[in-house]
Amino acid sequence: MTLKGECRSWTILAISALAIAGVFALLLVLSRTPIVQDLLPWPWKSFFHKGLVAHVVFSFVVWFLATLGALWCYRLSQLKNKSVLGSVPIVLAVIGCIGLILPALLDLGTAELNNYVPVMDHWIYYTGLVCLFASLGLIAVRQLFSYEEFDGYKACAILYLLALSCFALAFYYLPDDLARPSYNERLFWGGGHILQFVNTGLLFLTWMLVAKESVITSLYSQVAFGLLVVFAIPGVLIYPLFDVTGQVARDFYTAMLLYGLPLPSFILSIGMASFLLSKRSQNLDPLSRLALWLSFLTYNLGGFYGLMLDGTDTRVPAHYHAVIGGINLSFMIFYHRILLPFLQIGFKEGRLLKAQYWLYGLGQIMHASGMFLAGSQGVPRKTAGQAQSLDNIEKVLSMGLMGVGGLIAVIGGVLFVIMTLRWIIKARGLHEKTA
Amino acid sequence: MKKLRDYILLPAIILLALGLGFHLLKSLGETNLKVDQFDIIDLTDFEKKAKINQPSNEDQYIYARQWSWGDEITLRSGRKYIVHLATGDIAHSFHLPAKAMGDPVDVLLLPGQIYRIILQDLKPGIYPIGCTEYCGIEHNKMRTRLVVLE
Repeated sequence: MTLKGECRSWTILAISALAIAGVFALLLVLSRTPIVQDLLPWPWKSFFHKGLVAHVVFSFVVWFLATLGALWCYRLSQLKNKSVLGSVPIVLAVIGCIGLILPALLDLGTAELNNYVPVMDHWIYYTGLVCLFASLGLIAVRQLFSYEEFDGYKACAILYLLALSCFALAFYYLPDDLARPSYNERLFWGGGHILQFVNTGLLFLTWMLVAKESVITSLYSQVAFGLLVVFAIPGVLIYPLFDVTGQVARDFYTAMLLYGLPLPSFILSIGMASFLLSKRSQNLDPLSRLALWLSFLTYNLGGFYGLMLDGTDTRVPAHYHAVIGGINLSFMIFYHRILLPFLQIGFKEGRLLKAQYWLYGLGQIMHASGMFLAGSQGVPRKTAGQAQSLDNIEKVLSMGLMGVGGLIAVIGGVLFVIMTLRWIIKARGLHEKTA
Repeated sequence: MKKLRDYILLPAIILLALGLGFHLLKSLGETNLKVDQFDIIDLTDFEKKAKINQPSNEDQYIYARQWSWGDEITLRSGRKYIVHLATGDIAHSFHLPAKAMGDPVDVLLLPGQIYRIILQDLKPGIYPIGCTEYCGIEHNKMRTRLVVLE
């Protein structure tokens, strides 16, 4: 398999991950719908949480990691490198994804909605995770040894390998008799935090690729990526020094995000803002400019919300929904403007494509802002009905804004998946015919 | 001109990064309030004490288990309370938002241990007590309220 072929495979996996997440979201709704829930071939009560795990892991973990894979392959093919690894990584990743789906469909194991990498406590699921992480691990190592200079792609490879090291160290240091919820939470806690550094690096890379012109000079780019790596390194050192189940280790990773992410984000955001406001951005097509603006605003809004978190109210999901929304917007335009043309996949420009970005971007901003306003008034996160204690009009309006925004964002996200997947399938048909 | 800008910006970024790095290392093991920790001797006795909540008692007991903090807790502002915390099953984390005392309180509770904290200068109001350590599928339902009377 050539690097271009690998890149195509990671692209298909990434978009399919979102489609699978969408199917699970639909099944979740059906599993709670009267009458319909009785027709489903598995116990709907246990399916709800398992379906939720599958939905989150595909829409967050697999989508991000597959995009990371596509980006690394894209970079190497631009450098005219050879694949070396062939189809091994992508086959491993596909096996991994099958392992992530099966327990939900076959009602195996117990669902745990722990942070960063929610799990189904079953060996098939863990094997799936190991295969998925290992597949990316292989191409991360290849990225490190393919060329000499340090750049954002290499920084993401180092960060990703640091995250994997944290998972391995946690596995080594965690006592076997720890209760399963605590075990899974601690297993993915440190590495999960470092994966957020990877995601930030991915955002910077996609911004710079879509902007085409240099958003910041290569010196400042290296400084920003270098800072991401430097602030993530202590995350690995915590394991041998402190009790992995204790408060010191737990709080350190939260502090690592608080002190490690703002400065690189600030450097890139200043560069992006000055680029978007300058005449240079006029050379970009309107859709790219729109997507970059929306991504920039949503991401920074999420960062701003992150400075005001306190505990267990809806300001926490407000922060991460906006940050993830900003990153997702940068991925969407990266696929539409960089990868699809590179893979010679034809696509249709038009109102619907433009509408998709407006819907997803504004929807996420409304959704996150509604949650932030509600959280500021004490509305607890991940609760429904009376537990939300919506006892004044401000809380009701804030949660209303959250709901309407969420619905609009979902429409934008669904449009992205359907349109992009259709173009990929159509192009596949064309390629097969010409072959 | 560009070089002059770099001569100012790069040292500024490095200084800022060093400052943030220093704060990160300084935060290691740092908590907003002092937490004393002891081995638990009698969990049943602790559980019994946690069922009694009188705002007049200086010592308050809060017993955590999946997925409950027990009943609402009522305290008075302007008084000092010694709060004893323990978990009866797996790890939980006691969280009180910053609005209550000026700084947020977050104490990770591990099985087999009693944690003792001092709550004082509480402002009158109603505050959510939540769990910030994932403790199972209903983790987000683990909530109660702290009512601080005038």
